[in-house]
Amino acid sequence: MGIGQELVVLDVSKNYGTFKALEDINLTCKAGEFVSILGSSGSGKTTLLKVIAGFERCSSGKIFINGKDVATTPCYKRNIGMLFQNYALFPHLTVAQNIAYPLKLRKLKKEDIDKKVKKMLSLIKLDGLADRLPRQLSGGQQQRVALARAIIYNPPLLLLDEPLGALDKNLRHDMQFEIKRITHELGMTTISVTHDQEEAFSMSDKICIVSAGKIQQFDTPEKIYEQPSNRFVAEFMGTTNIIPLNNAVYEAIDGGTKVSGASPLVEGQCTIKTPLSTIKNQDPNPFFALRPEAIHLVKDGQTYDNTFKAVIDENIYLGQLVKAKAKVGNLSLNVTFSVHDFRELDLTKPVLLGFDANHTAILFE
Amino acid sequence: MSKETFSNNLYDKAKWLLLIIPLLYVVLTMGLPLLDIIKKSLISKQGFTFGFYIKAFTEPLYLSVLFSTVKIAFIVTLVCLVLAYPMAYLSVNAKTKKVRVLITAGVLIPYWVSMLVRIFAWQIILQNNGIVNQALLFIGFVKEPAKLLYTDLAVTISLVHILIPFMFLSLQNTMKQIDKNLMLASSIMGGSKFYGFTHVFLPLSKSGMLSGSIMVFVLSLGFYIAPALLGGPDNMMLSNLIEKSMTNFNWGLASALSVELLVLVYLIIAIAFKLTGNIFVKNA
Repeated sequence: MGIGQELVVLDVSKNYGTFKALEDINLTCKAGEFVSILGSSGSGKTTLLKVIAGFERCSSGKIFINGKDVATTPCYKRNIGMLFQNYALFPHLTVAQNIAYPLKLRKLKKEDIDKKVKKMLSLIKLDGLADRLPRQLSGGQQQRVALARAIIYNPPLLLLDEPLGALDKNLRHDMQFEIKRITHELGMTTISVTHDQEEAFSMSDKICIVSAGKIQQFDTPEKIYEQPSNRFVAEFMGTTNIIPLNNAVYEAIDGGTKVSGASPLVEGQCTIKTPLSTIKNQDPNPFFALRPEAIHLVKDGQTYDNTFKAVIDENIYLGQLVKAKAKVGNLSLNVTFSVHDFRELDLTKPVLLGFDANHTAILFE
Repeated sequence: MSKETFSNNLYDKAKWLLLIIPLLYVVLTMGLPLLDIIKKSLISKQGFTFGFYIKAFTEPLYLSVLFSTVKIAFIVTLVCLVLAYPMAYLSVNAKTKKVRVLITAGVLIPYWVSMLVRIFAWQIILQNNGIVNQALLFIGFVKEPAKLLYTDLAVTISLVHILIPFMFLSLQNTMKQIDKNLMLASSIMGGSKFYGFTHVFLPLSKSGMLSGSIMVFVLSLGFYIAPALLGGPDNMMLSNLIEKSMTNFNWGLASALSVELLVLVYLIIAIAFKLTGNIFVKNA
């Protein structure tokens, strides 16, 4: 079992004057989980991190670490580790002194400190650089020192603030795995604040999508992508198409609910399915999300739950894929084709496209 | 020769051309008079002599003036540092902008008031029936007015008042460049505010402390008007002694004392550069 502890954020709100930066945030991170808080700038994600870290007091609510309420505990008594976006390495201290800082604070013996620092330096593969100053290191090296300094005292909770924001693309990829490996090995509960979807998807056990100071959805990456709970999440996560459904009828079926209704996209009945078995708010005019990759070209002998005719234009060649717009009446859908399929299309005529009811997500406002 | 090196050469030459005007100005207005001072300090009616220097460094009166000048400059520097540090700290770290602006304005606005006006103000404040003595008499701290005016204390107080903006600005400038996340990093790792201050903030503000101290120390060493108006005849500073020698038409002695002050200042600057040089390399 790792050193990670459970974090529970309960009904936390934060106001700056009349501005509500956070509103009734509820979040549970199990011990050892890697959770990303994903949102655009101004969404409140950084405020949430500051409140958890203790840099800011929350206006109301509770924060439990391992069952203990720390909402009013000063930052320096919370025993949390944090990796800052700009690393915040102490410029007047060497690499070894930076990493030793939290150990010195905990009044460890000098021999123990030296031993631990040495071990940590080899873990982050910076053995020979103990006596360098931070400004003598590259960005990637600085980040590894900052990470080492944040985890050397085995904090049960690790916070990452835009951990890969300042790195170039190749380094990003390496550090992504590095951070994931180290936190996983130590079993730390990790909370990462980011605006980068790819980063959140590749690193997290769970993703918490924040917008306007509220949690929009808190779920696994797969669920968030495939079953966005509302329109904001669907539009925020990658490219999608939002399509209205009118006079919807809800019908319980095996493994979920079938919703059928009229749609400007499809002639006749449009059916979609959702794994949700009980839907409290049976909105008669909901929307559904349809990912570009769920829309297929209908070839001879293939059947889909829903089919429609569309005119293709505005295509962008991307190597293996072609991105295009499919026009149906007033609707303009984002679609993707394989290069092979696209070459065989006759773009002067409408083409027949189809999608399965399973590959959609019903959205509620 | 490639075009690039040619234009580089031209640029190098133009650079020196641009320098000539200010250089001429400095040489004519500073360099030549300085040479004249050095010449005057070495030549008496009887010809070449070290007599003025020997006198400057052996006469007890002159030595005591030198000593008290350095002492006052040192105390002024120390007091400026102790007073300006917390003000500069707050002017950078106070939570509300109002407080930050207020402190900076509070330090800088007096700086824009004529120095003479401020020195006369101190004369009024410190005189026998001035506000300070009245207060001291009122609370019964003294039985008769204390002699405040025309003392080292008066000189020190006014010098601190005049020179504190230099210390403040130097400290503020350095503190502004300290990343606020550093203190947050210290505190999330378990460091109290005080621990973070002594282990992170204070060491990082060292270069500002040093450059501010040099500036204040050097400026106090050569200060003339404050000791002339607030110091007594027994508490002269070096520049007053120079002036006195000049009015006595002892140009040789005045010149020797001037050279002495100049060398002293350069010595301090050289030592300080050696010290701060290391610090600048460390924090650059």
